[in-house]
Amino acid sequence: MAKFLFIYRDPITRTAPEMSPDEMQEHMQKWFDWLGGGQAAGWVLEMGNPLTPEGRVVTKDGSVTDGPYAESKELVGGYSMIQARDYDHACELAKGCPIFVSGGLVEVREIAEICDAAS
Amino acid sequence: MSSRSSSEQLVEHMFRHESANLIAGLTRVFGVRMIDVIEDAVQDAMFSALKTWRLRGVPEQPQAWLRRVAQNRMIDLLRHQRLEQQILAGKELLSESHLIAEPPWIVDELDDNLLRLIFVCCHPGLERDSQLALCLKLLCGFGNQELGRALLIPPETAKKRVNRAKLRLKDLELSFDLPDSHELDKRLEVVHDVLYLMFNEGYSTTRGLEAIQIDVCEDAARLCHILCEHPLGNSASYALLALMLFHAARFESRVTSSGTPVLLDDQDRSSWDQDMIRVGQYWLLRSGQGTDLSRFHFEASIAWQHCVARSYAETNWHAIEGQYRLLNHYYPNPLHQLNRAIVLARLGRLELALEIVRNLSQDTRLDSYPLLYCVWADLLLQLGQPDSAVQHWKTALPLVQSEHERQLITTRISKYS
Repeated sequence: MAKFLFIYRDPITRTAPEMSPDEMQEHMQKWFDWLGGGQAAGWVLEMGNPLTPEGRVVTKDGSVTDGPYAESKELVGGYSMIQARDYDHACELAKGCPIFVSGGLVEVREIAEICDAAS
Repeated sequence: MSSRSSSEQLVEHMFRHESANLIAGLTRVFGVRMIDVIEDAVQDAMFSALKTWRLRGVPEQPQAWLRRVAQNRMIDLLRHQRLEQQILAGKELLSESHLIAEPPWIVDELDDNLLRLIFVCCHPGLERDSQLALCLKLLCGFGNQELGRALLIPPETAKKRVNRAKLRLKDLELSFDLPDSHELDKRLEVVHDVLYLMFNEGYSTTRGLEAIQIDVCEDAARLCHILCEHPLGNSASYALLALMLFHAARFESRVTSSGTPVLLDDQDRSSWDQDMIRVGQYWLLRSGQGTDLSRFHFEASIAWQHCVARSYAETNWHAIEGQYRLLNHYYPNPLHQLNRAIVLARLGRLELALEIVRNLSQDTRLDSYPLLYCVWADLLLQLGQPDSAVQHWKTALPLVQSEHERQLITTRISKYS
């Protein structure tokens, strides 16, 4: 089994979308079901963490600028650590993520193993 | 860690109810004219919760978390809009040190704040449909979609209605204080009317039984309950709550699983919620201890008679007929008379029932009310005049709204033509 990082990218919006409180709660429940289900099934290693929307970018010349950065339309809102057989399997698991409903996407990245390089 | 368990479950409608609590609390501090900023702050707080909790799990004190975030967001927004000075000039309460810590404005005074917001939403200077829309939006946390579904209007119309109501609120220069004691009875009456209307929106059988409608009914009862537990509530509030509980106790039996309304005669009485009926009886008893009488006293008594009848046939129709007569005596209304006519027919007094219905047909308020013609037709049928009955069903047919009712009437027309 290989380890992967799920990086959750939410659309950049200045204001909260027009979801009603009930819709938000329902949406959150979908996350709990998805990640909770993954935990029960064993493929979620770490639920991970949310990231706040603020950020800073530090460059070589010492200048510090405010995020959100990059030209991306999305902002990293959090990450989780999961395990899967390979990329195909990991992507299959990512397809269940409720983030697509709210216009976001999941970036799937394999975590490089030290032992692989040594062997 | 308990906050990161794999099977998180929030209390049902926690967000919706907490949104109302937050709006009520913030309105207490910042005033009614800030309602738009308050709504934005609450919406932002809810959305932050969604984004944080989806990975972190629900914190141990979710309400406190939301309060803190909403309040900080409120301050951010005010600063952003440079309205801070304006407000600070008016209210010393708003020193920063006062606000950053655990917000004090909600902990012990939640019900009081909600009650104040009820009085704001039910301000007599607002149109009735505005009052209702505001209650559903601010006190029940309904979004535009949900508002539209609950009121049977397009979401866009719902949004406009709420915005218009909020503009009007600001025009009225409302304070969040409770009305003076001499104003209070008048204002309470409006509050009762709006809560009653809200409950009926959810209760209407012609629209099947969607989840949203049960929510509307539950919320009307929830708000009425807050009123009843508060010193401001009077015997009419108690009677109104009893009425709601008696109706709600029969909820499940009123509609089949496919959404077809079930008539009282055919309802499964064993499925009626006896606990809810008992709670209703408690409030009905309390409502009788005062000296004043409201239409809700009569309506609750009638609903109670149905709840305690062992069968349709064993229902105390005489008592119900008497209640309708009294109800119409004190609160004249063509619908009270029509209901009395139905009960009179049930008691075999067809001629008197027919006379009432004939008189009612002169009342222009019932011109487009299909039930009048259906009752009329049923009476004529029982009196052996099927031809005339068919005429009245034909009048009713274009007036009904639900497909189910249309079918019911069409079947009768073809049967007796």
